[in-house]
Amino acid sequence: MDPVIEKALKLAESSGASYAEARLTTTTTEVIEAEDGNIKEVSRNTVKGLGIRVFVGNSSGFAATSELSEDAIRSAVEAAIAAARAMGGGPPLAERRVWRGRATSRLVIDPFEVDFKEKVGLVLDTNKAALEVDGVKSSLTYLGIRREVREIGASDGADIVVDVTMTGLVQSVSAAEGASLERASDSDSAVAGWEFMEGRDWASFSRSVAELAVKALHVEVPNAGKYRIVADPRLIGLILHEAFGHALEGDLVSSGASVLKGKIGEAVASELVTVIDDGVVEGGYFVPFDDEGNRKERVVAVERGILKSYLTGRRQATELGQGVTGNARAQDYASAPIVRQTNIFIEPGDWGFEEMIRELGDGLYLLGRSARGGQVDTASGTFTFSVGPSWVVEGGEIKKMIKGVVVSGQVLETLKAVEAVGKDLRVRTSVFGGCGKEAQTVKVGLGGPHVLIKEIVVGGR
Amino acid sequence: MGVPELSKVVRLVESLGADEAEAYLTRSRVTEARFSERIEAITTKTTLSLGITAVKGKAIAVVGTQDLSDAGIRSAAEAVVKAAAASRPDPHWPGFPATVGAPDLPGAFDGFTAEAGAQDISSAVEDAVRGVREGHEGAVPTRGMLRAEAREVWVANSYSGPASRKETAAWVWVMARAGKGTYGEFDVSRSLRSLDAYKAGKEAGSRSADFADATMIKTGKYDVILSPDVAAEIISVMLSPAVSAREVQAGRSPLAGKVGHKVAAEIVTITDAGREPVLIGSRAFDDEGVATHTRPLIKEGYLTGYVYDTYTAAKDGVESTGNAWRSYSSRPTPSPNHLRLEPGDMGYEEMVAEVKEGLLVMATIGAWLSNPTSGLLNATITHAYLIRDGEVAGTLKGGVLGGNFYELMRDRFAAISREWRQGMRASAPYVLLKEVTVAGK
Repeated sequence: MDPVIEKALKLAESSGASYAEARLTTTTTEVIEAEDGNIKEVSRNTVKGLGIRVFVGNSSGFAATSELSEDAIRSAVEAAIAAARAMGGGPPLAERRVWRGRATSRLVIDPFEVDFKEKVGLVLDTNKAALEVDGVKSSLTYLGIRREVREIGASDGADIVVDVTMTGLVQSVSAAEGASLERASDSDSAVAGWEFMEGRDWASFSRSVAELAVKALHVEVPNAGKYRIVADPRLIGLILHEAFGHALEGDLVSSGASVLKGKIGEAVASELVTVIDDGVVEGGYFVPFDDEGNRKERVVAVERGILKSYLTGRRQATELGQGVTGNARAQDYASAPIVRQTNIFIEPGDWGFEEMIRELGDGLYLLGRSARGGQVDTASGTFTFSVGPSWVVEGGEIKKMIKGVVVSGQVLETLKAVEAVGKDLRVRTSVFGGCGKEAQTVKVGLGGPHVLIKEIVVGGR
Repeated sequence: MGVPELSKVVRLVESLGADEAEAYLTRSRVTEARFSERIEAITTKTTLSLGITAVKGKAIAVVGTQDLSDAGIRSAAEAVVKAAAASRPDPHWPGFPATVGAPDLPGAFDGFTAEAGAQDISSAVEDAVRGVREGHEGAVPTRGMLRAEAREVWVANSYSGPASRKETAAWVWVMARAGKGTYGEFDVSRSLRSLDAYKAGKEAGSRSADFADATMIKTGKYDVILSPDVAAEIISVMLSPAVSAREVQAGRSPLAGKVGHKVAAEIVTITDAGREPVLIGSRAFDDEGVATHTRPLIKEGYLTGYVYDTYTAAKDGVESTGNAWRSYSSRPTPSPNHLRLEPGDMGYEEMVAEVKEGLLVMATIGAWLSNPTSGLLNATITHAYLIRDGEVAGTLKGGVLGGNFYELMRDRFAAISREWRQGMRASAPYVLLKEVTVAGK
């Protein structure tokens, strides 16, 4: 156990805490940015600090410090104890198995050790490739590298280190013709080292984003209304995460802020739908343990349409009377853990893609590429997300491109309207951005196979 | 830990081989509570963060660190010079500002808020929870956050400084439920003492009951009144990037080349309020140390200018407008300090009375998913009142408000209310839009 964690736990105990958790995290990020053929910025940032959560009886308090001197640790512990004493009690922590050990994500070439000049060259070449496409007005490229080492120690003896390295690139392009402007962007990331960057043709990637932006200039926005749709794996991941995943989060369920409260054992989706939240998945983010030091369990949240489990940390497990699923996650050392998804996806079914498009007949084939994300109001059950340039399907054939699609719907209706689930499961994560909740952002993975949905509201003209 | 001497940091970076250097330091102190019917957690955190920028042969690098020991600063300084040496020159680099600092902005900082402890936060949370219960019998708070924060900023570069400024903010957000109805409300202020957590709670409680039997919006054309919160968010999402000189110069803004042109209805005047102490986002100087201003961006429908930092201003041959925003570990980019849609001359009641068949949109989600490059707006309505013959006739949810934002602002903005409200970095009154398409059931 790191001496800083040990010291914090001892101080907490001697100051009257009945239980304490200390988290020491170091996050290093490097970003290289190019705009229109020039390097705009090379930046590196290291954030290191200690977060301490204490319990006095069933009341908890949290404090954090970026300074790790004995005095600073002592005042953080005192602030956490004062916070715990300032609030009323809460549910006790559920029992858990105590884990000790270290988990490191797969890494072949340490991206921080790669020469700056090589990285700068790759970013510039990628950026310039987009500018070669006719109609492109502006090209922005970001290379992102991130390593996060979290050590979590607790007074029950838990001591876990999770070490994750990610790399990725985002390419954003604006195209113009006359008074029309359009943008497209795409990113590709992996929990991996520089080998991920070496294994891809980034110039082609960049050109294809540019071609998408130029093509989108000339296509129409669909009429507003209801459509039958096929969603691709990237989009179904977004739908699932926003439309359903947030409502599974145990803190929202127990406080009454989720429409899924009280629905365990009930049908909440079509019987074709099985929803999994798992900490370690090919293509996803790496969450073998959560920020309470719990092992992240593979959660079957929905099994063939029936709601089976919520996502929990130790407190929500007590409140909801179920097991600890290992979903208590914090943005960084300076944030207290709250319940978050990890990698959420729909299990594959048995439909082929072309078969599904034929079955769709007339409708829309909606794609997640160049989509901007989504949002949900878990309490009312309304969700929305943006879709990238997509396609009109007529008579079972993909016909013309459309753009500007934003879909919205109700949590409890959308998954019930699933009519077919494809075979082609894909899960993705990103080194850029993440999922936001209560002013904290964490990395997540999301995905699924192609899915046919009977009806969804599309905003447009 | 004390605050390091920024001039020394600048000299150190220069001595390691940089042509120019800048040191930017922030100290932030946040005390916050998450709550539902009870407080779930109270958090206090203090963070000192240093960003060092080095320029060598016009190649720029930034390194950020929270290790402010002598060794930590030295290691960051060495890393930034090494990174700049490995990067490529930016031919447009104009140099750091020759002068940093500006007169104080009294009223932007409140000592009590800066020092707020767990007890102060917890008593404000109790007010919010009581408000919800008194807003409607049976209403309960399901999620809430209350925060008091203070932020100090120091800037020094090779030519000037250090200069410092400080601001505080307090805000509360509370979501209430009554039966099947829910509603979220917030308040924001420079000071925890003037934050009205009780009122936010009461509003959330009482409106949550209104929405217990909300029905789905039907697709159609409606007259739409946007609440101040919704109007402020939409204007911020669409215009903040569009008026940024960086987006304009890169050809990513629909407002490029439009200064002096009519871009909105005559009733529309939008100001960048950089020196209004009560408004969050206002500050004495920007994140490069350049003095801020309060100045119009759209006046009576005509675009009057963009917002600049030093880099983009040099490209256009103008002065920076004091709009540099950044995180400590990255270079700044220009963005409005506080966008304010100026109030009009119609009363809110009068505006509602004018609507024959329409919606009063109280809350949306996903407005940030709109496309500020093409101007395509999309916001999903979660809470709206149905208005019939000038009176509230029911509650609705679930439609999508869409269309081209610039066409809406030019052709559909029919009236702006006198009453207005502050948001985080944008403020607006109620806005009446005529004949807008809303997609629904």
